[in-house]
Amino acid sequence: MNQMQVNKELLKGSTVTLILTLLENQEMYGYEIIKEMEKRSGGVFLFKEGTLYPILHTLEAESWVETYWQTHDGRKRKYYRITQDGIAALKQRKREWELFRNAVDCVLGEGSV
Amino acid sequence: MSNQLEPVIYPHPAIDHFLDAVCRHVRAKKLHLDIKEELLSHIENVAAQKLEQGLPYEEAVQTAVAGMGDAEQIGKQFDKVHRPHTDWGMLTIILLLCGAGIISMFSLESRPGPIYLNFLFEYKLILTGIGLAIMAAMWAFDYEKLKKYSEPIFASGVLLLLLTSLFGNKINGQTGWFEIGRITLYLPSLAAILMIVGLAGAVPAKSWTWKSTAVQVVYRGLLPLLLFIEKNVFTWAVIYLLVFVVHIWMTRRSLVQVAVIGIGGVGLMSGVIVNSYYLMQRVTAFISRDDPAGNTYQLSKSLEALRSTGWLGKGFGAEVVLPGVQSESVHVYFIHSFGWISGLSLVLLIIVLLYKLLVSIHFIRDDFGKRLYAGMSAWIAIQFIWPMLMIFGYAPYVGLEIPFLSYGGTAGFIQFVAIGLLLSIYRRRDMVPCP
Repeated sequence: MNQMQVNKELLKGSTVTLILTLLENQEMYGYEIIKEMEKRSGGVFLFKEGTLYPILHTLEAESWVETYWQTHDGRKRKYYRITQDGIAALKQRKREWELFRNAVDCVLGEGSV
Repeated sequence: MSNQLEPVIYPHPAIDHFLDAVCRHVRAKKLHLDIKEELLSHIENVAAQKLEQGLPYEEAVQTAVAGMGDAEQIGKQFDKVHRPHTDWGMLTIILLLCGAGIISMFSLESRPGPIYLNFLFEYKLILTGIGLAIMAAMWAFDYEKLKKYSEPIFASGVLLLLLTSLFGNKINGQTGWFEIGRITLYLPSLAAILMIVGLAGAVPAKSWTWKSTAVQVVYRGLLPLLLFIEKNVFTWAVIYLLVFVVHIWMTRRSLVQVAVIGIGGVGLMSGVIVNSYYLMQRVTAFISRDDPAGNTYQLSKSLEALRSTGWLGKGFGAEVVLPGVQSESVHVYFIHSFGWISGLSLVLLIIVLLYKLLVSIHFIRDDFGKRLYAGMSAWIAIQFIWPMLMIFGYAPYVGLEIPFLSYGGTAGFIQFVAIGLLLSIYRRRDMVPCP
């Protein structure tokens, strides 16, 4: 299962939810987010790392996250912090995802009603 | 091991090549540095990890850059996020208001009325054309450049008020007009917008100390208010006070701070009104609707014109006796001629505009832009709300005109400048780096 690559479109739709979920627990910088996502998904969620950043900027434009710079061991890092708007958006997306997952499960015949 | 510094990765030509390739596609030039630093930080992290795994330097850097993905695709995605935005809704509303104004002037000119209204339509067309050109110029202008000059801009507003006291002409008891050849400028509205723009770049209220609180409140609050009052320009004193309180609100330390300054300002204005025989008379007349001095003549004429029309109105070129028919009563004439349906549409249009202003503030993340947007929104909002309320007798009848609908003049041009600036801030809302 771990060797299988997840369909790109499916990943695209859920990336935002995944990022917001990670940020809900703690403030992170881009590299940290990617590493954490790889780790938690058991390596299923691998994507070209540069493409994460435009997504993070989109979240900032939506006011779902805020940013600040911090220097660590002489290296600058841009941290992302979830906002109240972001938490609300995440809740909404989680509901949608659950609805979707239940529907898929039902159709596939593994219904968990 | 733990005290070791991170290995030095940058500079490397492959990294520069990649970063430049990304930024080539991002139109928001001010963000290039920010984007490059963030991507560089990532590449350095990955490369450092590869070095730790035993890869040679060159290979580590190449792998890290390759792992980023396609520079062009990333650049285009960044550009999409940070693209310029056009506030089509605002543009549409302004153009509709201008259109309604032009039609009203045409209708006014077409009726068999006093001769001085003869060239209203032609002049309104020209004024609107020039106004829209000014608006477009401000729209293209990068509002951020104003930030540096906010102190001199504010000071020039104050200076203008001081000079008006010395050189201004007195009309109807107000000192505010200045003539240059054939052009008569109304200086208080010009001074107000200068101070409002200047306020946006002023020291935020949250970082005021006791000493600077005194300085700021006197210089940016009390002084302008007293200068307006001294010229009998009370309407602008009220408007300025509102914008000043909005400025404190936007940069506040606490609600108490806003409340104290707000109540202080209202107290000051009330004191001035109570101590002025003329103002007291206007206020009493407004409250009691009973007016021996004839101050509510305009209101009664306005109510009469509104009542005597119907859903579809009296039609193009309708005749009606209204003081200030092309200026502070222009919307009464508009409703009288084109009916309550047009009147409701006008009110609806204004509500949508005000709602849009309120929502847009939320999306502007640049501090200076946000304050400027808020201050000018408050300034524009009151110029729509007050004239709308006063024609029904819900606010004192004053010389404020519905922007863009009325014939215009000094205030009209300033309103075009302000809308241009609002469009400029909206346009660049995702193109400026955050602090």
